[in-house]
Amino acid sequence: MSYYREEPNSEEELLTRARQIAGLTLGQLAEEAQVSIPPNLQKEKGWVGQLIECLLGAHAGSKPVPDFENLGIELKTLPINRQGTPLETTYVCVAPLTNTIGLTWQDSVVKKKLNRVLWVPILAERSIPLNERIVGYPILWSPSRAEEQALINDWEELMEFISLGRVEEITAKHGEVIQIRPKAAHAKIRTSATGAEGQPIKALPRGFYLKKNFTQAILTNATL
Amino acid sequence: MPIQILPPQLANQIAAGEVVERPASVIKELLENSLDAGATRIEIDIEAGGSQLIRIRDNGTGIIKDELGLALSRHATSKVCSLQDLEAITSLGFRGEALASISSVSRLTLTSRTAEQAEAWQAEAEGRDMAVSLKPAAHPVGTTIEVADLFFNTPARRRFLRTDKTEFTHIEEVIKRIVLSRSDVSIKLTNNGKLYKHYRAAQDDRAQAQRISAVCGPSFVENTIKLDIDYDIVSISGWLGEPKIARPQRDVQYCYVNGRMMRDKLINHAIRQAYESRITNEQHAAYVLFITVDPKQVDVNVHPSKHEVRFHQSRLIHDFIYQAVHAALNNELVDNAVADAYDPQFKPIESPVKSSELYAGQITETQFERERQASPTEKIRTDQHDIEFSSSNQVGSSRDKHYAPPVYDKKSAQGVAEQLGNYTELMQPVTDVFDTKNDKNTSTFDKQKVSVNTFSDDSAVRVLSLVGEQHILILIADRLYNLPARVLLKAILLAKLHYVKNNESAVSQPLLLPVAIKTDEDLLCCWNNARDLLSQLQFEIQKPRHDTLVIQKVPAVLRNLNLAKVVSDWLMFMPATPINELAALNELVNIIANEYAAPTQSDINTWVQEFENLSDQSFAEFVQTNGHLVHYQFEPTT
Repeated sequence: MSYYREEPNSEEELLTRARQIAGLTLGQLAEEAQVSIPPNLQKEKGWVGQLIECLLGAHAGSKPVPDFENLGIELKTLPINRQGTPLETTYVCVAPLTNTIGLTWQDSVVKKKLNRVLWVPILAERSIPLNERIVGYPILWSPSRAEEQALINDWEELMEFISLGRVEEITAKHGEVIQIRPKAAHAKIRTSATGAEGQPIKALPRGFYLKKNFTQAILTNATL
Repeated sequence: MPIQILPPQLANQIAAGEVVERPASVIKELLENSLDAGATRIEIDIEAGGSQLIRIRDNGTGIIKDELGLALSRHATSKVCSLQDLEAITSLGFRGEALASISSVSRLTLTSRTAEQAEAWQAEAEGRDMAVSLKPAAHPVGTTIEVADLFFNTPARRRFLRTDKTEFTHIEEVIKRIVLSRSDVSIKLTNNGKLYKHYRAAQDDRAQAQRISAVCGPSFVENTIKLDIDYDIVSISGWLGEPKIARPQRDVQYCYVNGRMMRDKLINHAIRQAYESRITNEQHAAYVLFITVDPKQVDVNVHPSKHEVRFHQSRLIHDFIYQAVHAALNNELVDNAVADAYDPQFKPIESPVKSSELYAGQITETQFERERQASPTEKIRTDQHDIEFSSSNQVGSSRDKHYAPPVYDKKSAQGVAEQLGNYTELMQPVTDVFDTKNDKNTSTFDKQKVSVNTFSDDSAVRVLSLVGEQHILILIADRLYNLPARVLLKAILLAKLHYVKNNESAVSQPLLLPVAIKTDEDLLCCWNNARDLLSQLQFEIQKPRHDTLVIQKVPAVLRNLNLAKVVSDWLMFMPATPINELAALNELVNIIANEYAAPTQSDINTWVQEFENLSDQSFAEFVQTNGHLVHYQFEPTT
């Protein structure tokens, strides 16, 4: 992408930028960023996110730092339908399956990743062609006390499964607002984990995801 | 069969099914009773693997004559008396059913004397109602319980008994567990009339080592790491077998929580994990560990045999045990390594994160973590933590010079004490996150809602019905009015717009999906003219591109309408400056009203209510001014 924008200097500036692209279509935005639209997202899953990053001036790329490094803000695009309901769960980070000893919520990656998030909803119903999809109203969000408590409760429960060697028992149904699901390119990938007897085992890598009810509530609270 | 209350003996026999599995379970219950009674000397006689006779004699406090009968009844105990007690159990027993259960499946005699009594009394429970008979007896202070002919009346259970030798081995195992946990109690075991073992009370470390050696074997005592860590609500002490004496069976694994022997999955898991990479998958670590936690933090009322506990903060306890064991093993092995640098079993574990273990996708995260750990602030915290830890551990380390304070993994940067504090908070139930939206849902207008019953007979104004889609028939006193529905709607819309314009507190609503309007020069010009009014009305409209206006926020009145059309139509109405505000507002109201479908009866009811809430004018007055009087006449009935 030849289009370049400096990282914003303040939350206010970031929000202003994000508001400026709200309501426009991905087609219009791709034109502004001087990039071509891929025929479909199958091969370029992260294209929408990258386009938004580029337009807002996020340059962390795949580096393990917040997208807006100086502001400590993560950028998350959130596909929604016309009724404003999220279409997918939201990936947060890899679930640690080893070295979980003494890990606290305060030190967890989930907490860090969700500390401050700029949510950018994207109207992304399947029936709408990519270039006609619309960028929604940006929401700069930090978890409220109640939201954080809900996150903590699930995180504690899920981490207990992992540390006590019950990782294979975790299903997407555990957790009210967070879930753990396999996160790997294909089902044959294996990583280290702890087994039921405390012995090392190999398990499918997992990731933390925010459930739709949680992101839905964020959207609803912000636009009511 | 009719429903009936079970006779006490049968009820006890049913309970015995859970508690009394074999002679060894009887021994366990009786020994625990003796210990709870403060005994320091216990003598156990076994005959024929315990199926013929089990006799336990202790020098505990004894039971007074009046309570002997109660001691044999079910649900009778001196160990708990309220729910509060149950939440913080400090005794080994508490269920109050052991003696009753045992006596229902055997011939049990209980002889006891307290220090206050001059003579001892013997109690026996017999028959279907388990009536207790008392007779005087000779006995020193303390209690003797004789259990003869176990399972004589429950042949099914008797058939499950193994050979005398096997049953005796089980009994021995139960005794070993008690011997390890209470080195201050002297225990004598006699089998078929011959003294089998005599564990003397141990006052000093040497005597204690002898006792452990008698139970776990001499090689265990010689190759152990002593552990003694005290941390706030949790402490852990005991002996860890070095990896080189790991065993092919789980036979030397003794773990106690608050003095009670446990076979708990969580604890075993933590210990196994701590031994990881030091022993093979087929080996089992040898250990004797005592974990002490605030009784309020555990629930032992999980299973009648009390082999399992529930920790209220299971992951925290798990991690604490892991860290304590891991650190102790680590330190010990580092010391050993000086003497034996080529010990193949020794693997230094420093940085727990090894990139080689990771699959490709995980690298990002762990790098993130690693950088986080390497950051200066984090380091300071880690250091502080180490200091904190070693100082609170001084008791343990000064007692045993050989044992250096464990160094926690970097990840546990936060002090355990602090973690504990956090946990209490963590465990609170969530106050529903999603409740907030309901609060917000009640809009500014709704809050001022005054209850108006439009159909009430007392009311002077009666909304009768909707005629021909657009006309509302209203009766005021005996006058009938026809009010066009649109007139009412517009009045409401106008009132709402005025409210928004005059109240800065009125919320404008962001559109989750902002609406873009294609614009030309004319429309842009109009937009420029109207900007002041737009912002007064809480509109937020941006022009991100030369040919596009985007509506991002609107006053609440306009929600759920076709905004692109409404706003562009309206903007086109305001080509010239200065804008006639009143005319502009009226036009907006017109445009919005056109978007509304024909109202239903319930819409009308809502509107009337809204009008009452919004307008200074009374509804009756409004109808009289804006409605048309309908002349009607009743045909006289013939």
